[in-house]
Parts: sequence; C-alpha cells; structure tokens
Amino acid sequence: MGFLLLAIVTILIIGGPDLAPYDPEAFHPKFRYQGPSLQFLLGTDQFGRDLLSRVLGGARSTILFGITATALGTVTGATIGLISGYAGGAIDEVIMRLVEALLSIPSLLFAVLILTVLGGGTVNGILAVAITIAPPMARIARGVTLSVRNRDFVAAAIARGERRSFVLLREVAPNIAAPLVVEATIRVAFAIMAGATLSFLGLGAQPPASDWGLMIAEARSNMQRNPWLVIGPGLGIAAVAIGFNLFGDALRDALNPRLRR
Amino acid sequence: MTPILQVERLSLEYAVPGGHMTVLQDVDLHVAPGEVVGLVGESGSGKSTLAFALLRHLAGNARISGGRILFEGEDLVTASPARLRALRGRRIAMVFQDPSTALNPALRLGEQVAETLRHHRGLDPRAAEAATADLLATMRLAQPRAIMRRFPHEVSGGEKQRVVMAMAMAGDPALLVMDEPTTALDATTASGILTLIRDLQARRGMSVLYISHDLGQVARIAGRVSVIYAGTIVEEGPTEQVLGQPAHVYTRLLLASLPNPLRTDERRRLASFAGPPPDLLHPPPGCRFAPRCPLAEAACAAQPPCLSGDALHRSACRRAAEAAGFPLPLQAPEPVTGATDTKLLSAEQVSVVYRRQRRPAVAEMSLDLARGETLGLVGESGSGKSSFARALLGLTAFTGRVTLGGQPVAELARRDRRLIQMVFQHPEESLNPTMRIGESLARPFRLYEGLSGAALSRAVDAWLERVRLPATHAHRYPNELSGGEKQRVAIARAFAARPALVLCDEITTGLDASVQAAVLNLLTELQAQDRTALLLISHDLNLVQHFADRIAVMHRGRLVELRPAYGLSPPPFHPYTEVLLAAMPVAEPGLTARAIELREAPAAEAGCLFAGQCPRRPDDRCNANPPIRIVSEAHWIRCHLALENLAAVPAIWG
Repeated sequence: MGFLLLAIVTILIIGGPDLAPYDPEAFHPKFRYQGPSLQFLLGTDQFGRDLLSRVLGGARSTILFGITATALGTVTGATIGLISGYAGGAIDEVIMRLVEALLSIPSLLFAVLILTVLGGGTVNGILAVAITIAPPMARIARGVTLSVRNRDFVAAAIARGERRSFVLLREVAPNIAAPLVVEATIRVAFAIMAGATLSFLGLGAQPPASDWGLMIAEARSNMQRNPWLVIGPGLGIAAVAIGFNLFGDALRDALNPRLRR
Repeated sequence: MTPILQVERLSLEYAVPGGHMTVLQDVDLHVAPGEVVGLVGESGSGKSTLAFALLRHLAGNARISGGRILFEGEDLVTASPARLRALRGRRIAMVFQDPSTALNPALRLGEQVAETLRHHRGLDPRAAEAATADLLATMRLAQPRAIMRRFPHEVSGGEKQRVVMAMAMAGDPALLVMDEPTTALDATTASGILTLIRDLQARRGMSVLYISHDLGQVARIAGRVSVIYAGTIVEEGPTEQVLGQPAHVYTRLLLASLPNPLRTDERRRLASFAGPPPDLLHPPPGCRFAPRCPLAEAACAAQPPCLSGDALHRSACRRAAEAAGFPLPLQAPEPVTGATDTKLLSAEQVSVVYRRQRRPAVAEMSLDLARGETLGLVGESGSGKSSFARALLGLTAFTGRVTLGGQPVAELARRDRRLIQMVFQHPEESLNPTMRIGESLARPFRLYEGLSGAALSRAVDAWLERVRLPATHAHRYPNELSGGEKQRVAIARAFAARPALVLCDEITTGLDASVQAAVLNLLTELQAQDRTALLLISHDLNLVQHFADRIAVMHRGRLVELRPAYGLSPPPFHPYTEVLLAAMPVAEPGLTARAIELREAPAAEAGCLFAGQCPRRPDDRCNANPPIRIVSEAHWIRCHLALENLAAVPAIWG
C-alpha cells in the first residue's frame, strides 16, 4: 500500500507538470468556480484555472520540499547526535541540553519564528523545517550511538589504534543509519505538511506558484463557493503523508533483523 | 523394572521454507524410576526439541511424524490437551537454561512459588506460604523467608535457579526434565545445583532427564547417558562405559575435543571434526555422522545403522569395536611454545574503578607476561578479568602502570599498537555487521603496513586460508557466517597484525565443544608460528589448564594466586582455587571430585574478600589483608593460612 502510494508520488514528481491537461497558470475567465466536469476533472478556481493541472503542477515542488527539508534535517541531526553520543561526558551534556531546549518549542511555531527572522520563500522554508527536524533526529542518533559505542567491534577498532574519524564514520555511523532512515521517511510526511502550513500562512512559496499549501490558503476565502478548491490539494497532501508513513513502517520491519524471516 | 518414560522411534520434523527438517529421527530413550539419565548433544542436535516434545509443547510448524512417548504406560503423542495439562507440572516438570527468563520480574519470588503450590496442591494462601518456605529450605536456600520477599533481580543466578527448581518440585513430579539448567551459571554455583539435584533425586526417588551439551557435567550427575547427534541417538550406556569405552566414533571425538587437564600427553591439542554438521533439510541417507567420520566406509553412507550392542551399552556405529581405540586425528607436531625469559608485558598496581561502584572492579593487580608465554586468567563472572584486559589495552580508564617492552601502552605510536591485540568474547559483537569480512580483515594491513589494492586482497585471502575459511567469505557480511567462523575471522584479524601479545577474552564461551576445539587448535597454531604471547581469559579451568603455562586466579578484582599449570594440579592451592578446581566437571571415567561446600556468610568487603565463603577460613585474621605466601619462584598464594596447612589438603580428584 505504502509502496503503491509512493510509486504514484514518484510519477508525480517526475512527470506531474507534464501530465497536466492545461497550463496551471492559464486563466479561463468563463469557467470560474466550476465543479468537476469532463472538461475540468477537478473543477476550477476563482480565476478559472484548472485545479487538476494546478495539483499536478504543484506536486513536484511540494514533495521535493518535504524530501529536501527532511534530508537536510536528518543529516544535521544525525551528525550532532553521533558526535554527542560518541564524545559523552560534558560535551554530550551540553549538546543534549541545547537540543532539549529546542525540542521544547512547538515545531511549527519554531519554523514560523525562523522564517520571520530569515524572511519568507521556498529555500528559507526548507531551512526552517530542516531546523525543526534536526533536534528529534539528534536525540535518536545519540541514543543509538550510545548503544553502538559500547559494542566490541568499536572497542576493537579503538584498540587497533584506528583514527577517531574512521571509528565514527565507518564503525559507528553505518550502524545507526537504519533507525534514522526509518524515522526520516516518517518525518517526510511531517515536513510536507509543515511546508504546506507555512505556505498557507504566506511564509513559504509565494503566488502564483501552485504549491499545495498555498493553494489551500488562497482557497480559504472561497471555500464556501467551491469546496473542490480545498479537496484536490488536501487529498494530495494526505496521500503523500500516508504513503511515506506506510513506507516508513515497512522499512522499519524490513531493517529490523528480529522481525525479519 | 518398567521405565517411567519410554520414547520409542520418535521422529519429529519442522516445516520450513524449502521442505521438512527432520530434527529427530527414530529416537529411542528410556528413563527408569529413580534414575538420572543424561542426554548429551551439541547445539542443533535436537536435544531441546526432544525435551519440549515430551510434553508436546512444540512450535506451530513442528509435527511428530512417528513413534511413541510412553509416560507411565500412557502415550503422550496421542493424549488429549486436557490430559497433557494435567500431567504438566504435576507428573512431569521442566527446568530450563536461563533462570532469569523463567521468573516473572514483576512478582516477588515467594508469590511465584506459592502460586504454583496453590495450583498443584490446592493449598490456601497461608498454607501455601508456609509450604513455600519449607520448599525453598529444601532447595538449600539459606534464608527462605528473606528470599520470598525479594524480586528476581535482587537475588543471584544460582538462587534464581534454586527458586525455579522449587517451582518445578511444587507438584512433586515423578519425572524432572532439565534442559541445560547450569549453563548460565558460574562453575561453583553450577556445582552446588548439581549436588542439590543429586540430593533431591536421592531423597524423593524421582527420575531425572538431564540435558546438556557438556559431557563433564553429565558425568557428574547421570548414571546412564545417551548421546544425540543431528537428531539421532548414536550411543547410550552407563556413563562410565560411554566415557571410558566409547562405542561410537562421534562420542570418542567429542570426548577428545574437550580440554581435559588430566590427559597430559595430549596437552595443548584437541581433536576437531572435519566439515560442518549435516543439513537437516537434506540429511545424509546413511549414518548422519558419516560425512565427518574419519573411519567411515561405503556402507556407512549407504544405510543408517541401528542401535546395537548389549542391553546396557548400545551404539549406532558400524565401527563400534574400533571407536575407542583408533588413533585420534590430533594436530601434529605439537606446537612449540613455552615461556621465554624476556619480559614482554608488565602490569603494575593496575586498578579499575567504575562510577557508582564502591568496590574496584580490579584492585592493584600486578602481573608480568614473558614473550611467547600463555598465561591463563581465571575467575568467575564479575571477578574483573575483562576489566583487567580492557585496562591493558587502554579501553578502560585505570590507575597504575602498563608497559609493553618497557614502553607504556598508552604512549605507543599508532604503528606499534599492532604489538598488542585482542579477541573478544562474542563473535557477533566483535565484527562490524555493516562491514564485509574482507574489509574487517583488511584493517590491520591498511593500518600497520599501508597495503592497498592487489597486495591487500592477496594478504586478506592468505589469512582467510590460514584460518581455513573459503576466499569467497571476503565478500560476505558477518551475519552470513556461523559463530565459529566469525570467531576465526576475529582471530585472523588479531594475528594479522603480527602482534607480540594477544588478549583472548572468553573467546570460546558459547561455542560447541567441537567448534571450540577447532578455534583453540587454530590459536595454538598461530601462536607457535610467531611465538606470540597469549593472555587466555576464561572461566573454564579445564581449558586454561590444558593450554596455559601459568594460571592467574582472580577473585572479586584481586589476584589471589599465580601458579604453574600442569596436569592434576597438586596442592598447595588458594582455598578459592581449590573450590574452582573441585567445581570443574571433567569427563574422565572413574574420577570424582571431592565435594567442597562454600560457607554461606555475607561476602566480606575488607580484608580477604573470600573470607565470607572460604571453607578453610581460619579465624578473624581474615579481616585483615592477607599476606603473600611464596611457594616457589613461579607460584605464590595470597592467604592467611600458612603454606604447610595449604599444602596438607587432600587431593581434589579421587
């Protein structure tokens, strides 16, 4: 199920804009606030733009936003957690207290805060979401690092006189990857929703982009006149979120040796 | 006398992807009333499956495909589930390997035993409590009332196993099935449990089926023994005869693969088996041992042999007559080792203190190692052996001074780290699961010799060959290898650095006897080539006596004795060494160890730390630190007792 949804997502990322029947930014003034019809499969918006084309056109930017932000946040968080967990002692204490302080701020509020300082826009939106993802990732990475660090093959490497960078990158890092990758796939859904929310608040993508969050934001005032304005992009966000969540679950089962067989 | 348990031609198979695994094939086994029968086999031989099959407590994919299990004349294979429930615990009780998983960690020990008593004997709560105290006292637990109030994590492993045995005895069973009940315990604790089983059995007259991988353990308790190999019983008979005159080639080789300090002429050599155990999905058509048997002939591989022989001692072997006498395929020539006079490693006043622990894990240990020497370090779990080894390598913070060739180990240049290497206890843990075997094995060459490219892969292949692994293993990941294979890779990685000293921390614990023999043979072979010194850390005194030149005995963080290792160790001993020696099961016919009872006082925290348990404690002198008594240049004992008294103790074996 998760794989099926993800397959659709992949097609949307690659071919979304090309699949669209109309130019997503072309106005059709005669057909404003249309319901679904054969001509416009999902109906049209307040300017008569084809909703299906806009949903398809926005797929790439919306989904790539989620994936990029998650990847960035995961790598940052993993690095922090790895160093913190491996170093231990006072360094660990300081880093983890800072991470906990960041964790105490609600993530969306935190992202909004960052964007207020940095200014809106897609790139800054990615940065903001990545920064909110990093602290929980750091916590997970640190926890796994702590258990991997005490395993004998790490002791063996230290006893051999391996360089610290080798121990960290080749002995410890590959062994903490599995739980992080799983967590990251689940976080992609969160990142997409966060990105959509930021666009909705006017802090992410700017009009006339066909970002899903932005589409819902623009539709808010006209929702009563044509509910299809919200349903299309809303369903898109839901499908991608569920897809990544299911994929993450499947990945966790596949990577867990105790459940394998 | 009609047997209480009679297993007749029992076959059992597991449905697995790819077919049916015949885990048990035509197994015959019987236990007479009041008899203790040992069942010996390696891992995967089907011995535990047989134990579970007795009560039809089987996995969902298991199917009994033939035979009968007659218990007091009743066939358990066809018995109804309700009937089995009535028998379980009441007529047949079981005790399993790990007492810590057999007990519920959230309930007090007293409640757990009392509940079993209420269930089996229908007692009311107050009567059950009194009966629990009685029962625990029978299990020789010193303070039953205090134990009853404790939770499982608050008592020792030996105490837990005694509580588990109390629960098994609650229904007053006619047959007690024990599956490796002492494997998870220290030797002295295990010895106490064995004594208890013997006493209980003698007093209550019940029958015991004692399952173990350890022939020595079985020899201590069972009057008769059955040997199981790959799901078939290969030999059964009186313990003395099976040990002394084995009538199956497998039994003979198994005996010769056990380190036995009494076989002084075979010192440092163990018999090992050719090839892997058979694939039970496609078992060999004839004798299942034939592919690995040095005496196998064409007929062996063609047709499975039946158990034959006299009524008492039977074996399923065509070459039974020769089994006891054929020359063993021992490695020859005998590896050249032995100490030289040049001092290699010196540890002075090494102490390791862990946070939140009052007593140091290692207290002021001083020990020297000569070039090419094998020093055995023995002691029970928690005695600080591993902590000491880790301190030597600098993996653990310590105080004191460790030098290698005169230079502090901590200050060794990266290239000189090669001189001291370590092999760890758990092969699963010592290889990085995300690295291919070839990569792991390449590390010492990259690190110390700067090899790369073709030269590197040649070196890796050469070492795989030296430890007798196929070159294709270089491309595999650790989880595709067996435990013994992984340990060989770890050994190869340590020796590939061409070290002067290798620390071996319990490297064969958890491996089967035959695999252990192969690993140890490999170790001595590699050691002889470079005259490497070995620090052999083990809880197994047999192994250490078989292989080491000197033995260092550790007790609760302190070195209590340093003695030369030879044959039937003669006195004087430190009283703790004496206890350890007497507790070691040795699979030698006609030989029984003197039983030594430990005192049951609380463990001492100052002075001599063994004083609380010491059976020879002289008096309150022991509250002070004991002096060192020098026996000879290579032998000293840290004890308050005078040497004359220590030397006057009777022999341990008789």
